[in-house]
Formats: sequence, structure tokens, C-alpha cells
Amino acid sequence: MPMQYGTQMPPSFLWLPPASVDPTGAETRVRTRYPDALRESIRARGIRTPLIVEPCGNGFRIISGWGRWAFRRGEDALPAFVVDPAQPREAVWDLFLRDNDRWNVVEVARILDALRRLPGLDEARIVAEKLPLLGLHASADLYRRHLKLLTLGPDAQSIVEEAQLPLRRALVLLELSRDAVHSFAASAREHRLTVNELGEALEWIEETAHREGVPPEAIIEEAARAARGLGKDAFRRVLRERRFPRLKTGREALEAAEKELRFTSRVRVEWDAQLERPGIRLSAELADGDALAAFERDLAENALRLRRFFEIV
Amino acid sequence: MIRPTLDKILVDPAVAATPIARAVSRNAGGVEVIEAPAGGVEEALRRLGLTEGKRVLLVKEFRGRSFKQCQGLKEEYACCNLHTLAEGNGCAMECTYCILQHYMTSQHLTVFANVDDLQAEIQRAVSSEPERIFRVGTGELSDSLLLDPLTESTRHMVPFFRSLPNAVLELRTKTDNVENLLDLEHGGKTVVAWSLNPPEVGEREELKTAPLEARLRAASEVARRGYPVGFHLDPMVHYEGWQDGYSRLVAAAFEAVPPEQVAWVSLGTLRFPPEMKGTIAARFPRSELRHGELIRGADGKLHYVRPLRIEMYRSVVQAIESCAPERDAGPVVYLCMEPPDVWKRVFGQEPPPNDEIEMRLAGSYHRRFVPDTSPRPRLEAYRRVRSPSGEGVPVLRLKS
Repeated sequence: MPMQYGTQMPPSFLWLPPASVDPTGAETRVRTRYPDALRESIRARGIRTPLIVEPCGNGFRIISGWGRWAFRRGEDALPAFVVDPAQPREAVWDLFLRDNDRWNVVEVARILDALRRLPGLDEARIVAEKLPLLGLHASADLYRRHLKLLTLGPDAQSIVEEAQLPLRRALVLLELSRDAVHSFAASAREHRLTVNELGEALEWIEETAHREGVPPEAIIEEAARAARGLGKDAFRRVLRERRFPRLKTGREALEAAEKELRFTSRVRVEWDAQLERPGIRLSAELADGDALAAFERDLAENALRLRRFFEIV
Repeated sequence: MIRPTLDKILVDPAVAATPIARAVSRNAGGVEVIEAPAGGVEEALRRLGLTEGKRVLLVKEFRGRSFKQCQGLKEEYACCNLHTLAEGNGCAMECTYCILQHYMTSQHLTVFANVDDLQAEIQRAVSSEPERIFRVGTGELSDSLLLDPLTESTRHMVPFFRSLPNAVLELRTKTDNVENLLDLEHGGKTVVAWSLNPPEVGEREELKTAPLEARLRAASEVARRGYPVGFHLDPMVHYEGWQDGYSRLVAAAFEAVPPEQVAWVSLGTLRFPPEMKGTIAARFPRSELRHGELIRGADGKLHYVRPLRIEMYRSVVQAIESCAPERDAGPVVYLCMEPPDVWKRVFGQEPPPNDEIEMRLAGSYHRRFVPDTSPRPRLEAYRRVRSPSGEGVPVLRLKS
């Protein structure tokens, strides 16, 4: 996002020695993880985008540029815009918001929490004026849902930030106890779940627990135990089948029906695991006319058994 | 009577003199009515959240095409070819599963006051295909009767449809707001339809709506005044005891309105875009919907796994058949947004093409309710080809 300044506060540009910057008292610090690409870029080319700082005591404090500060090269001077400390805090925060983008949902929550503590900023104004600066739709519901994330414990916030979970999935963590979050985080790390898999698994756990009235920890524990040594697919399958018992019943019935089939040639039987598409797909490897004739006989002999499939799908 | 709790009513000066705007001002009942150009306030209204938006009503002019084919029409579904008329947008009731939470960019309520323009548009469309009976629903993006005590819209629309030889208006509602209908001359050309769910679902998932018994009392009342009635068991929700719940619901519905007075019954199971799951969880933490066995279907929406849907439909169809055994004298039963293979498993046979489904609905309605005042629908008039723009073009017209 391009830097914009209000007309009343022309910033001055300075090269600052790192020793003049006070890294404590970080009112605007909301990001705790920074991309490796930023580290690499600064290592290779130095800091190219000026920090935003304000005078503080004999030095300066950072308004925006914590990542740049963290990855600075030794004693290289830091490019910085210095803003007027007499500015209202809201204007300082506006500068910060305009200087950054791509917040994760927990960071957004931290920003909104800080904004609502500023004098003169009520919910209506934050929704109307600040959410768009964060690249979000000006919706009061969205504002409130983000703030709920701040009630998550550190483990849960860490999952959200590491996996960059979208808001909908992050909110699922609110439904889990701290123990459940801890246990889930361990399984997710062990099985190296992708972001999508992680979000999906969270939903399955929370929804199953809710529907069956069992603690989420029990479901996580069951999946972890069943998948021990078998890997990610087994872990996910246990969770999915707990969440969708009819799919499990259908799969078991189809597998049983498949075992009943007797073909002399090599025949593959496939069906839609979601049971959404009706019917089955048979693929046969037929080398010659004799094989075809045998296959035809097999089909006739298996007709009743094949009909079992259609009753299920 | 169900009335929305409004904080403000904004009336665009361009429509302030229309009968709808005047009725709104007259019936506002203490709610502040402010004249404000729609163009100037809509941006601010867009910022209102889901809950706040429902407390503001904007009365304005509709521009564009208000008469359309139902959005449910998709290649993969067998479809009834309903037409829709946008009389307004938004709804003040709070159904947890409501698609409007996801679909609308603004959450405030809107009523379109230029009824004359809407009626002219309908007149043009239906008169171009005189051998077809158009079923026109107004409850797609709003409830057809929720705002009627304010707008008195039915006082304009019901007589208008009575004057059209080949169109029938369907008012779909979850309210019991039927007072304005009772003294109107409708000529059988308005079907008043209720979305129904068992009380145990309604109480948890259909907040701020009329309770089931009030809806059925209203249905009974309009049926006594000669209106054909429709029932939509949509969305059907799976819960413990659902079979019993839906059987009792069907029995209660046909006890309130005799089968011969019911034009049609549609069935559909719960479905919504996956993105709505979070909205439901956040806005309605007590809702049980998202915990159902919902998987993502071919249409991208979450719905119950296919075997469960089929089981639910079969059970309800059986219940309807036992209440309305005379097939020719009773309602046409159809599925909403389901592929042909599901129809086949439910009804035991492949569904006909969409145009024929539409014709059967129109034919049954015509035979039972308006045999003398409307042209008999003929299948040829319903057989249509599609132009590249997707607009339906009657084959008959192409031949001439």
C-alpha cells in the first residue's frame, strides 16, 4: 500500500543509527512473525522501505517497521520517516495501517483491540473508517468476530498465525479447550497437515464433539491413536468418518459388496466416496475375444451382486 | 402478526408520491420516516452489519429487470422453471440458514415502490407467451408478506394478477400476515404459500418468524377465502426424531388446508454455501445446522449426503401420499434443486424435462383452480430452445 500522509504532518526523512531506536514500548507492534523473504531481502539489499518512527526521549520509537528493525544489518543506518509526536494517536495508527497489509486474522484482532482503546474511536467509526484501511469490508459483525479471537489462548493463536487460518476456521478454536488445542497442535505437527487440512480437521473435530456431546480431546486422541505409524491419511480418515458416519457406513457396505464380486478377468470397481454420484464404474482389462466372452459371463453371474451396489449408491 | 422492528424508514423523494410509499408512511406506526435520496444513503447503508441492517427500510425505485427466471435453475437440477419478481430485498426475520446473509451486499430492507413499472414488465413478458401459465414468485430475496402490513403491496399485486389470463402470483412467507389478502378479489390467480418446518426446527432455526400453528391458521384462513395454497418443506433439516416431526408437520398442514386446496408442495433439504458456515456459527451459536452431515456437492454447496436426502424425501412423500391419496385432486409434489437421479430414487421414475415439470405444475393448477378463466396450458408452448444469451425462446415463436 503506498504511503500517504495527512497535510498537517509532513514527515521528515532521516538516516538513524540503530542505537537511537528504542525497541520497547511497542504500542503498534502486532506482528510476531515475519516472512523469511523479508529477512533475505534485507540481508541482500539492506532496508529499502523507510521505517516510520516518532521522537521519544533522546531517541525514536518505531511506529511501523518492526520486521525491518528485527532483520537490520548490524550497525547500518536505518532509513526512517519521523512523524510529529504531537499528532493524535489515531493519526499515528492510520500511518501504521497504511504502511502495512496482509495481516493475519489475529493481527487484525490485535489492531482492532488497540484502536478501540484510543480516545474518540468507537465501534461505528472503527468499522466505517478503519476496517477498509485493513482491506476489510466495513461490517460490524466482522469487527466483533475478529475481536473474539483475542480470547484464544497463546497455543491457539499460534496455530491460527502459523497456518494463516481464515477467520471462519480460526473461530472454531474458540470451541476447543486449551488441552484440546494443545493435543491438536501436536498431531498437526506430527502429520504435517497443510493449511487446508488443518482447518478442515478442526471443523470436523468441533462439529463431531458438538453433535455427539463428547469432549474434543477424546476425538483428537482417538484419531491420533488410530493413525499412529500410519500417517496423515489415516489421521484424517478417522476424523472424517467420525464427522460423517453415513459415509463410513456406505464405504463399509460398498467394500463388503465388492468382496462378493467374482471376476475371472482383472476388473476394477470404483465409486464416489462421497456417495454423491450414483452408480459404479467398472474397468476391465480384456486382452482378446475370449476375455470379452468371459467378462460377459462374469457380468451375468454377478448381476445380483452388482445390484447391491445400486442399493447403496 | 409479524412486524419487523424498524429504527428508520428512508423514502427516496423520487417515489414519495407512489401508493406504496404513501402506505409505508401511513402504516409506519411511530417509526421515523425520512426522505432521503437512495443514491446518497445506500453507501452508508451498505456498512451496516447483518443485525443492524435489518432495522432500516429503504423505499426506492427499482431499475433494471425485476422479472426473471428463478436462480435455482441450473443444468444439473431438474427444475420447476419458476419466475421471480423482485418487489424488494432483504428480510427482517432471522432464519439461521438464510442465504441472504451470504448473498446480499447490503443487509437493510428495500421495497421497490414503482409498482406500475414492475407490473408493466410482467405484462410484457407474459403476454408474449399467451399459451403458457407463468408462475411468478415474489419471495426469492425477501419474504412476500413480511412488509405487507406496511406497504400494502398485495392490494396492488393480487388484483393485477387476477387481470392476467396466463400468470399466477405465488406469495411465499413464514409470517401470518394475511389480513390484507382476505377481502381481495383474487380469482384464484394468487397462490399463498408457506415455508414450513416442524416446531422443533422452527423454534431453533427460524427466529422472529410466525410459529407453525400461526402459519397454518393463516393458511386455513386464506384457503377459506378461496385462495389456492402452497407448501414448501424447504429446507428440511435432519435432526433426531425428524421422521416423526415431518410426518406430524405434513398431517397438520393437510388438516389446516384440505389437499384439493393445495396447489403444490415442494421439498428441499438444507443447503448453503460453505462460506456461510462461519456466519451461522457466529450469529447463531445455538443453531444445530452446521453439525449435520453436510458435504460439499457438485454445485459447490454444502448439503446432506445423498442417501440421507433420499431417505428424508421418501419419508415425506409417503406422508403426503397418505394425507392426499387422490393424486389428481391433490397437490403436485416436486423437489427443489435436486438432480434427476435423486428424483428417480424418490418418485420411482426419471423426472420429465424442466419444461414439462413446469407444464405439469401449470396444468394441475389450471385444472383445479382456474379452468374457466385461463387458457389451458399446452406442452408445445413450454418446449423452448435457448438462445446464446440464455434467454428462453419459445419454439412456437421461432417457427412463426
